[in-house]
Amino acid sequence: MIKEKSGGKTNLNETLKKLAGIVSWFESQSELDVEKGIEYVRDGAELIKVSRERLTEIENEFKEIKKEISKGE
Amino acid sequence: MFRMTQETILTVSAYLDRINVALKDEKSKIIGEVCNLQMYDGRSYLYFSVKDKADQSTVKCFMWKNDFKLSGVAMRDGLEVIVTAYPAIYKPNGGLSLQVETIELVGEGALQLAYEQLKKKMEAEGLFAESRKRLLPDYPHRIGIITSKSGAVIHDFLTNIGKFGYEILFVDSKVEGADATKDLLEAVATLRTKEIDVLVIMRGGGSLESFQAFNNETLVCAVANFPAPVLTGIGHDKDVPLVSFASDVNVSTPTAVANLLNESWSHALSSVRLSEQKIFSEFESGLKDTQRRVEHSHISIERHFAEVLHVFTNAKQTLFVGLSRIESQIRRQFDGIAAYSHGIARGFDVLSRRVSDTLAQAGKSLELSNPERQLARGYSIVKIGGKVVRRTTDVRVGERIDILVSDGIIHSEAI
Repeated sequence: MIKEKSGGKTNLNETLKKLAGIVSWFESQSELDVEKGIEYVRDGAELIKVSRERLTEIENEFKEIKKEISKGE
Repeated sequence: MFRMTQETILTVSAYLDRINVALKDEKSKIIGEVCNLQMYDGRSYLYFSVKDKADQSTVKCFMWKNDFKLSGVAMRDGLEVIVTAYPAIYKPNGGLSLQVETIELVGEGALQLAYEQLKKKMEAEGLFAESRKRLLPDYPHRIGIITSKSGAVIHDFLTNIGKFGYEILFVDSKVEGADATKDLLEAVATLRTKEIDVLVIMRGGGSLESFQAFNNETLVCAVANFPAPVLTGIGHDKDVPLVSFASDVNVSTPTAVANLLNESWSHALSSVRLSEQKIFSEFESGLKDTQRRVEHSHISIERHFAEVLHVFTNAKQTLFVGLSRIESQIRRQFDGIAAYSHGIARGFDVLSRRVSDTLAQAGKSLELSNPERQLARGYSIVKIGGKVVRRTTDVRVGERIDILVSDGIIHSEAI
């Protein structure tokens, strides 16, 4: 399983960089290496999953903060 | 005089004693010229005679030197004087003489002369020097007063002395006449033993003659050497009494004396009142100043608070902008992840399709180049033992040959 964690949490920046790398590989690929391709698909699917989870966490945390700030108005 | 009785027989001595007692009542003031003055150092008495200018009647006089000194008269033969004396018989020789208590000069001229001479002498001795003068103490409390209890002087003084809690030690004294000197000296001596802040000697105005007691050398010395500062208030017309010269401070009236004693107290009172006013004024001013500062501070605080509020509002706005950006970024990142997902899917799809296409192409190519495809056209493939026969030399007679045609194999034999 591919997880980029920082202090127990997924590091979104790192996972996004890796995803960008995978996409870039597919875009630049001229050889027909499906074995490598399916491997990247697996890794990419895992990275997408953990990135979404982390981003959802960040979004929830952000919403909480925003709600707190709005209370003070 | 005494009454004579037949039964009484007296000795000479007793009789003279009796006479002398009776003669004491004959005290008189007698005017005459001094003659036969006999005064010697070391003796406590002196002799002289007084002679009537008109008929030369003469009487001998005896005087104790202490009393003589108190009189303050510079004796010389021919000087006209008034003696206060009573007659007495001197028992050893039965001679009559006057027992003199005081001597006074007669006439303004003589008094003036004596005054001038004594003044000159005392000036020479430095008794009137300014350097000897002591300042009256500030805030005098215990005040010794010498004057006559009867008369306007003490009344004026008491009317004008302020209510500053004075403790007054009053000694009544004659202030005029031959007896005054003795009285005054006793009063000074009495107050000398008391702890007083200032000694005051007062009397009203009068002629030079009436001031004789205050021109007495002994009294002047007693005043000059008094332990506390001496304030005199002795009225005069022309000639200042010598006691006034010798005192530390001299004014001319009892009212002036009272005012002088009141002076430091009055100043203190004024100073206290002034200070009180000043304190209240400064406090009031300080209070107003503080109020102004408080008001100013209020305005200043409001202004600063508004500034802080402004900064806070700005910070809040910035924060909201930041929040909005973060929110957008989150959305973008979600979109980005979705894009990556699509990208990967699309990439893999492309890759798969390309592989499929390649495979299909390959299949097609293979199909096109399949030799079996030629069999339908009538071509056949000869194999011996599974190997394709390409040349005649590959076949030997008698060998079994398999001929592949479009619909099957023809087994045959080489001949």
